[in-house]
Amino acid sequence: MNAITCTQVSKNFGDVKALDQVSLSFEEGKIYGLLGRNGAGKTTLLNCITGRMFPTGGEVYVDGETALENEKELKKIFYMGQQELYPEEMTVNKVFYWTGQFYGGFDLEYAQNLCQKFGLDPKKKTSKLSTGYRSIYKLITALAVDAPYILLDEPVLGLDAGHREMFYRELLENYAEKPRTIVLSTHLIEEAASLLEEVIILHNGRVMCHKTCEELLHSGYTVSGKQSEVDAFIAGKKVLSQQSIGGLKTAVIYGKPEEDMPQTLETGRMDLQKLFVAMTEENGGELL
Amino acid sequence: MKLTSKYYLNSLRNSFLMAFGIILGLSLSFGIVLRSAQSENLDYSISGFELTFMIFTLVTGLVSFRESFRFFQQNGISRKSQFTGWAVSLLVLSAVEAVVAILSGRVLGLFFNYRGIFNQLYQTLQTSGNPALLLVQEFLWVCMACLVLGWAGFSFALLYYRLSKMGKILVSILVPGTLFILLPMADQHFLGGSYAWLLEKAGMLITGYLPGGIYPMVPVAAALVCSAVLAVLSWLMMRRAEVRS
Amino acid sequence: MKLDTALETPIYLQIAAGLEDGIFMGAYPEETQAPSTTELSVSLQINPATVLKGVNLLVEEGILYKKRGVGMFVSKGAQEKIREKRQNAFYEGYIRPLITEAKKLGLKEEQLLKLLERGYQE
Repeated sequence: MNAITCTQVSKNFGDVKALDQVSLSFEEGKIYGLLGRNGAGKTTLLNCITGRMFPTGGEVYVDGETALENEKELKKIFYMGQQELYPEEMTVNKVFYWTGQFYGGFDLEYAQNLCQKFGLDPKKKTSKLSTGYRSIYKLITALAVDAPYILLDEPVLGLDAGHREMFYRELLENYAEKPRTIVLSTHLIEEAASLLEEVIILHNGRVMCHKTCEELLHSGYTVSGKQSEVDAFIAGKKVLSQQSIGGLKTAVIYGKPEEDMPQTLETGRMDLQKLFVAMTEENGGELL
Repeated sequence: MKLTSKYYLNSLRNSFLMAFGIILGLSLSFGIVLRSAQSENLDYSISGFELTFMIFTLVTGLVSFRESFRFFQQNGISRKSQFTGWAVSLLVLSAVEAVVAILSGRVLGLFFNYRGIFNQLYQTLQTSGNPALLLVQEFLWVCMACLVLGWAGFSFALLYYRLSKMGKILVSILVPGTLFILLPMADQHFLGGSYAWLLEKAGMLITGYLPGGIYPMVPVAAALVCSAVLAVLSWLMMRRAEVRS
Repeated sequence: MKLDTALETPIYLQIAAGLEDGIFMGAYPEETQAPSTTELSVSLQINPATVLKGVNLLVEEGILYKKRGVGMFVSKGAQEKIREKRQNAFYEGYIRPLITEAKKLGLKEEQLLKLLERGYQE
């Protein structure tokens, strides 16, 4: 199976362990969500995978070959980071041109189309673009490049709601036409949740959980109803979060709903964002 | 490597043409002004292409690392390809600069009293030497001077990139402080002029004015060795360079 | 088709149910092409793998079938199959609990039948 595989990848910055023995795989043709709070190690992990940083320990493989400084394998990965790595004076058109030169098989017509859809003038210099468009030109580059692994770090940073929806649409269309591995690294997950096939949660530099999205969403449920009844029901259960408004209370519970649930309580599906926040809170990880 | 050189040369082309345009314009205007003001007893000469190109190459070396490194990292290029790409590009740039400088000098020489840096330094050789051999020597001299300065700029930029904030401050203070203040002072009081003697010898080596005669190929060889040393140092620093925020 | 991510029913089941609804109500007639995985994925903004899981459920039940290189088609007799399936489900989902509840309330069979008759007449 073709994949990007990390085996016990660690990265230290001085005394800080940004990554602590991370082992995981991004398999061919799947859409992944790489979740984690700020500082969880998402960006460091992506930087280590693409050789922008050297891991302190461990090994990264792409399709079974060592990735570090291996151009043949690195060319299979396009990584859109949050950092501006393109020269300030470079126009978007030039970015497209050089990406085509380096990666080969860049779909310029498609890229131009996307520019039009998003209202981006490709003659502009990258440094002259607003935050939103700085994300957009990189997203367009990522969609139009012919690489089997696309890593997107906080892809919708600065995008308004319309552009975000447009991006998810284009991403799925692109994926349907040319299935490849897409990794969405983010801390704002709810609107992308239904796009994901698998979810990896990083917490304090470690992999806290790696499940299919469906599994993860079914690892818990919500109950709502009268405060007193909800309180009685959740007693002794693993409660991820609770919230009450007036006399009504909603609680997120880890586990499967029970048969003997009181009729007066309503159950619902868990919200990925809430689950993620609850899990990554202090001691939240002990629940899993 | 082919692609990385292509990118380097592409981004160098415009700034090189600009530098060339400026020095050409300056030489022409100076030449015209000086020639029209010339009287019987005013001897004038103009020059400057070589020096301009040498400074240009130094600056190019200084600014070439960081931006290109980040750009290449974005595009999955190995550090090795980046390094070889730079080495090839710098060699090409230096050779082009030498050719352009010599050609422009010769062309301007038809109209003005233009004398290139090589002619000025090795005037005594001009009358006696073989003209073809001198031309080759001039080419090598200018080319190697540019090359070594390019490597100096590049390795210095890399050193700065790799150093921590504290390291940068230390280098910025200690290096010039040692060379220009501490050593000359020590020389005066304790070393008994040996530092000045060393500088003098270094100067002689750099120009090729040796006790036994004038050898323009000595500085060429020295520049080549220095370039090689700087290239090795650069590679050692580049090998483990990381993209930082 | 409407999906509700807040429901406890998994998305792929919701997709299967939505397609089934469409077929049952005649929006996708028998022997015609059903919406493709891509179309569904893009318009609903759902991972294609999830959509495929839902579609495959209907393939297993014989409601949809694959034409190689063309796509998914609605099977002949799909509507009838769905009707049968839903009638079975109707018994399990409505009649059984109805009787359980009726017994709790102390309603006899005749009384319950009367109530059903009343329901039909109203």
